[in-house]
Amino acid sequence: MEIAKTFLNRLRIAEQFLCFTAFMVMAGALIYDVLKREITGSGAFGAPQVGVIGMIVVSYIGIGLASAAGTHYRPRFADKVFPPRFDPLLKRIEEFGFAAFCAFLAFVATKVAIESYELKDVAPVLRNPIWPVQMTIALGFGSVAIRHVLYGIFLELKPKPSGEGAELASEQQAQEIIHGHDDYDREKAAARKGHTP
Amino acid sequence: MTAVAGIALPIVLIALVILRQNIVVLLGVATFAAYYFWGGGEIMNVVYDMWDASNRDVLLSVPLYILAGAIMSQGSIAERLINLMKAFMKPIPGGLALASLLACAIFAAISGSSIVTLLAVGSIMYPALIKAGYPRTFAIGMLCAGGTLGIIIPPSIPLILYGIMTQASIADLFIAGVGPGLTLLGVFMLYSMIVNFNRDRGTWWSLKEITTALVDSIWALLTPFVILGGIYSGYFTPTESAAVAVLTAILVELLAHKHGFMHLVRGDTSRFGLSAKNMGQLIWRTVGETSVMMGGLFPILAIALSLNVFMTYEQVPNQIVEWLTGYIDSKVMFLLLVNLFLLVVGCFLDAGSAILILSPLLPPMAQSYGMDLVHFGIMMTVNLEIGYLTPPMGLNLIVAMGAFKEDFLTVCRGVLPFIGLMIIVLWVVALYPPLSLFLIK
Repeated sequence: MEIAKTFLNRLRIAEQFLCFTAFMVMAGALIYDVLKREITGSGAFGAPQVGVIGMIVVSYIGIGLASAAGTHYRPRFADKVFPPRFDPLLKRIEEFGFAAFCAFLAFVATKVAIESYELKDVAPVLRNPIWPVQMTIALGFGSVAIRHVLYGIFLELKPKPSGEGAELASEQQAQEIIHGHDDYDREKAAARKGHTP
Repeated sequence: MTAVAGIALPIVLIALVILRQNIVVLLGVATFAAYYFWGGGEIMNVVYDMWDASNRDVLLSVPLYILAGAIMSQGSIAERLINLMKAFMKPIPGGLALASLLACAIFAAISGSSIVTLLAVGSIMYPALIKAGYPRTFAIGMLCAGGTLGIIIPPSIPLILYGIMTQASIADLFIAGVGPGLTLLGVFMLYSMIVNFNRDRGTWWSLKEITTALVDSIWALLTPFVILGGIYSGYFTPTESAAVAVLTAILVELLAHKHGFMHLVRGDTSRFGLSAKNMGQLIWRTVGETSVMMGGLFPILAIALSLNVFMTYEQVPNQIVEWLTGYIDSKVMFLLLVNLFLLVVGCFLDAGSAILILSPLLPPMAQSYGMDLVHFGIMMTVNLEIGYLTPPMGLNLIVAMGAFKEDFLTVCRGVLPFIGLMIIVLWVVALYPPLSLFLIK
């Protein structure tokens, strides 16, 4: 289980770095486009398309991050249909079911990317081949499939489910906000005293 | 074969819900089945549709608005806005409650999310309201309701999603959200003033206090003006305004609020370095949170759009409209039924998912009863906004319960009067289209 835990942790860090880089490219391209338009009167060539590529990477690689955070939405109104003794089995079915679906989607997405590669499909403005970008769909869903297979095998590795996860994430966010304001208050108090905190 | 599949598909979907499958799986199975059985077996079209759905620059506004809201909520903008509102509302009965609601509305004009608005304002105002003697149920209910303004006062993520799904103009949807948003704010404020008439009457206005708060928050106040003014004047598209929102958020927090610029002017590079480092950490954290949110939302969006393409191609909405108009001949009856349906849906689904799933079906029906597409989108959003306050899946209830450490019953009791007020406003929005459309037409 320790190997699986380490693997999942490293996978999450890699996805986080990839998402951060893609996000910066996306936001940077759009901000540059707006600023250039304001200054020179014409926008940056291909900036929205670069932004879209960044967004696609963030969105599909982010699926794995959402899985790691346990924030994928699941309807829970039918959770009490089976008695509690079936919970461990149902948890495994939940994980393997999601993994199977994602693996299937990753497979179809790979076929689509291969088809685009063979047909030499290119994007309209930038004229770049689209198959590497399409492959992020396969990579994103593939990573989720692997993650949920491991969750299904080692239930302890599974993050809190979406409702509780959202609650915890929000609680953490609230603490960060409160914490952030504490920092701000400390800075203000320090500024009044005339030194850096 | 297709007839059997038509009967089996709902049964399979129910079985998947019982087997605890995610909404992505439910939507995905429905979409793959639709293409396999009724779309000539072309299941690769699902991924092609997903690709087309993702490859749109209008979607860029979603992560950028989420990021701008996250930066602002974790910076000092919210606190500065609250201080300004407190200075203005001090002598009015229930002044602190009114200040909270106004701060929610202004913050909603920066962020496009209900939870971000609730947390940004609530984390500061909830302890202050309790200290000022407001009942816990009222304080938490009011903050939860104020938080929902985040999705109706533009910019709004659910309105962007509705625009993407229905091809309605996102700029028009944003402008149309202003009237209902301000009406809700007015109703909340009036109610808060009446129930707290003998509570929290502060001293008269102090010019010094107002001036200080105004100077302190001038950059924070500039942000909604830039975003909304840019969209309303047609100067920015919603996507461009989202990029401007991120840029403004970073500049305001880094240069104006953390006094980074003044450090540079004074030649104090180490303090400027500290401000920049803090901003870097803030951006790393908020980008991480935004990526998680996008990762949760995007597969649903892409698959829902694929199903939308299939249903439009197969003319499913038109067939449902034809069938429905045979049973419901009055627009008011349609509005009543659709709003009751959405209220129930809102109890189980968040606004974004509900809009993605129902947008292919409901707007064409509304148009067949002579409703404007933009007006229907606003009504749908106001209705689903109520879902943030209704158990069992009311997101604001869950967030408030966790963040403010209150039990579920207290939170539910607190939001009850506000749900009543929102239902009244919903009916006004539904029956009086000019409230939404007066700024467009």
